[in-house]
Amino acid sequence: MVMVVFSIAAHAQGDAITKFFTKYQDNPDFTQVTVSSKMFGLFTNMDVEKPEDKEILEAISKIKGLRVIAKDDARDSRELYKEALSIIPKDYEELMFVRDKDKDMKFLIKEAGGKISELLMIAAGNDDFQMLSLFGDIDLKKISRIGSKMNIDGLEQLHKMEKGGKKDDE
Amino acid sequence: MDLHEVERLLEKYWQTETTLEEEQQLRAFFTSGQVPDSLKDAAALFAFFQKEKSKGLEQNFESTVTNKLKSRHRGKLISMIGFGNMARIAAGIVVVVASTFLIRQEIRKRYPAEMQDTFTDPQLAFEETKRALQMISDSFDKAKKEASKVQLLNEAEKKIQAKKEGDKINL
Repeated sequence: MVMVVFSIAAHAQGDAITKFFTKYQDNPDFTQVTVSSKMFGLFTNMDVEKPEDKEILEAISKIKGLRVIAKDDARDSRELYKEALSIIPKDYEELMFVRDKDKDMKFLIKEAGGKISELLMIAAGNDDFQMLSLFGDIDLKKISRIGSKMNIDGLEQLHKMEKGGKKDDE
Repeated sequence: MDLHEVERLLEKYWQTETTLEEEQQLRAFFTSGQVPDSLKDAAALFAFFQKEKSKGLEQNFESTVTNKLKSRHRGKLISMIGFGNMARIAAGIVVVVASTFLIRQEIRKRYPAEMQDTFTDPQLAFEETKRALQMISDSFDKAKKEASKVQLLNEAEKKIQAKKEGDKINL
């Protein structure tokens, strides 16, 4: 009997959030992505050539897991958004809220002793809903420096142009 | 035995110093019937002892006593024993439950969530993670831009304010 209890007690995430994921993960309308700590461990062994990928690996070096759950064609996106918000435990602080056209995105963090142990994102557009949980030892600075693909490529172009310019001057 | 001797032995008897033989002598004297008035009380006592000694236990003495004991204490005895057992069992349950909670907490602290990976290929998992991170990063950028716009507005306002002050002075 005691062993059964042990096998159930395995989650380090907030239980309420896990419940939300478990509630919808088998629902065919939802897509879900789970990347475990083992997988994150495997990342460090991968051969990455692009500098952007290297930057990303650095940013996630201490991250233990990622969970995403999303629904497209979601007429109930706003309800899901409210539901997700309602189950978040009180020790999560709101980090920021971004509204981009029709999309609302709320970011929350769980902090303890100066370290961020979890980053939550809850987003709802007119027809879509996403909830994301990133946990471990999170470095917000490094994550915010991960530019989008376009930005990175743009920066690379800029660097090339600069280098070309300097050579001409010399 | 003469009276004097009897008195002497009796005195020893009260001091519990008589030998068995002497006690036997006393008994013999007192049952003989020739007891002076002064020693009537002692005689009565010895007679009493003799009588009591001759009594035996009735046949079913043991069973009677046992039954009486049982009927008197039955309820009390068993409920006390029962309570002890119940208390033991309850304490045991409390210990097991409490320890499982404590151990669960410990496990939660040390072991990360046991999640089932969506991807078996690390490359794919990495791509997906990248996507998620980029989405987060883009939102941060957006927030920064909006914040910096506010910053710009503030600075513009300050400059306008400063210019106004300057114009006033010049006038």
